[in-house]
Amino acid sequence: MPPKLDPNEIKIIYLRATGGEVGASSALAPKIGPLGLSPKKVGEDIAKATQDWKGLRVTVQLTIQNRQAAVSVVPSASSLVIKALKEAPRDRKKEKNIKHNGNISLDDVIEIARIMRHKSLARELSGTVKEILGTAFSVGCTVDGQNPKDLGDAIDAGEVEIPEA
Amino acid sequence: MMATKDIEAGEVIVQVPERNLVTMKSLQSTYGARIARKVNSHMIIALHIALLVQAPERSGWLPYLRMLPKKFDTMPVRYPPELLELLPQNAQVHVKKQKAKIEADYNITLDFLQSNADLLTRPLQYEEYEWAWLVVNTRCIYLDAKNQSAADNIALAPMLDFLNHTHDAKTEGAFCTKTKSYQIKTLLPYKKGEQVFINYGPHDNCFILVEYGFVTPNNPYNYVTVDNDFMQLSIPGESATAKKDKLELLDMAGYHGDYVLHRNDVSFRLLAGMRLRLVNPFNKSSVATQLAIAQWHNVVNGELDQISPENERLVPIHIERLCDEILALAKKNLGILARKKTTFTVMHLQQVWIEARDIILSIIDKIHRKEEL
Repeated sequence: MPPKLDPNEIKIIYLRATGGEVGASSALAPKIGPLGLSPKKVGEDIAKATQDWKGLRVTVQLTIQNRQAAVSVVPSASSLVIKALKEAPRDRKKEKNIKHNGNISLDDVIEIARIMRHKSLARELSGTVKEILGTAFSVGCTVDGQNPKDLGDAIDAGEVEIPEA
Repeated sequence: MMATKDIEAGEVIVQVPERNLVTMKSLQSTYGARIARKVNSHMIIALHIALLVQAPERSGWLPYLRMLPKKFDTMPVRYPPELLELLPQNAQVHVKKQKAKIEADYNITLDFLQSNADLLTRPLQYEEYEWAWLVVNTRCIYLDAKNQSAADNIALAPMLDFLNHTHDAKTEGAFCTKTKSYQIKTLLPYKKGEQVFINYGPHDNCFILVEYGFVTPNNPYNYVTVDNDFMQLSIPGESATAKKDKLELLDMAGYHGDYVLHRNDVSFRLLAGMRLRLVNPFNKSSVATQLAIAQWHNVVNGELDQISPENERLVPIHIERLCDEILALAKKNLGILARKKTTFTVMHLQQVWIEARDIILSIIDKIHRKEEL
């Protein structure tokens, strides 16, 4: 009995992957093997779809419909901030405890806030911008050469203007 | 349906107000507490349609009833036996299940009518009920009716059911609580004068044929099932007990059955099944076999690429044997169909087998080019 437009026909799996790398099949196989999907091929598809995120940990969404998987990257605030730092790709296996002590511009932060707007519960964009500044603080980078926390305070004080949308 | 103006992506293309939706809930006001527990939405909506047809002028639904097809002869469940046996094996099983369901639903409905004979104008014949059941089956939409079983989450939405399906249409359908109506949004734009399509779901042609009675060209979800051929495949050096043990092992690992081939792609399940079948000699009490089983589990879990080079060498050879079986069947059935009078039904069957043949040929080609499966 097949009602039309049944949303349950689509199965969605989320997983974390390192951008641009073919991960271990053993991470994928138990989840997607029983669905008839080849862990190796899906692993390669994930590597292809995350080319823009080389060396960064990103959340990947697998949309599985009738034994076919489509790969997309779920943007997250921290991946977007790290991406905006434009660091040279690193080999995660060789370098441990990576520090991010670069600098991004406030415009970058506003751009990221716009991408993350739909996930944020803030009433105005400035609220989402402050959330992203918090992420920047936790990542360890500076924004326009300042500590992100100071910039957040400046927004609260009305010294820095954030567009409405 | 045709677009009478340009439609943008994200626009609502059709909405049906709640009062026009036929659901279990809306019918409860008509039939009240008479609806028994064991009657699900599909049955009650089908019965409702059948009763409307018995007394059409009383209902105000005459315009809708007039738009419904008179017959469902393109539905495989209505095929004559000589056409039924030309369906692919998985579709035949699907049709049998569907037929059993209609019959069971008919009997439950008859029980229900026995204590509610006043609803009827004349006795409800099986053909009448089957027709109404198929009206619901081919036209119902998914409507989330909370805390009910899955079979109850359906509704009949007049007008919306005249939208046709293509696999590349991108649509979202849901009940909108603001406007109190069921809405379908298109995520693709349409130009004025184009036909507007919706997407019934990610279905292959066999499924669409059995459930809705048509097929679509270039359907990317098509596949060929080789379950029966896999179970019957004789492998040199494999004893009957070994085969039984292996199938049990596959069952325990969750890899029993659902072995399919897609265009240019062999399902991971079939590869897993074939790899195990090709572990020979296979004797559960021997150390070598236990080792091979452990290796097989590692392959299935993605820890290893292969059980052994020899095992991996044999896999494509035996998959090609499965392909040859299906290819011969496709050719035979296409030959029979070519001699029949061309009707929609024969054309649907021809398309299903041409697609199956092309999928098989793509796999054989891949094997011959020695590409990794």
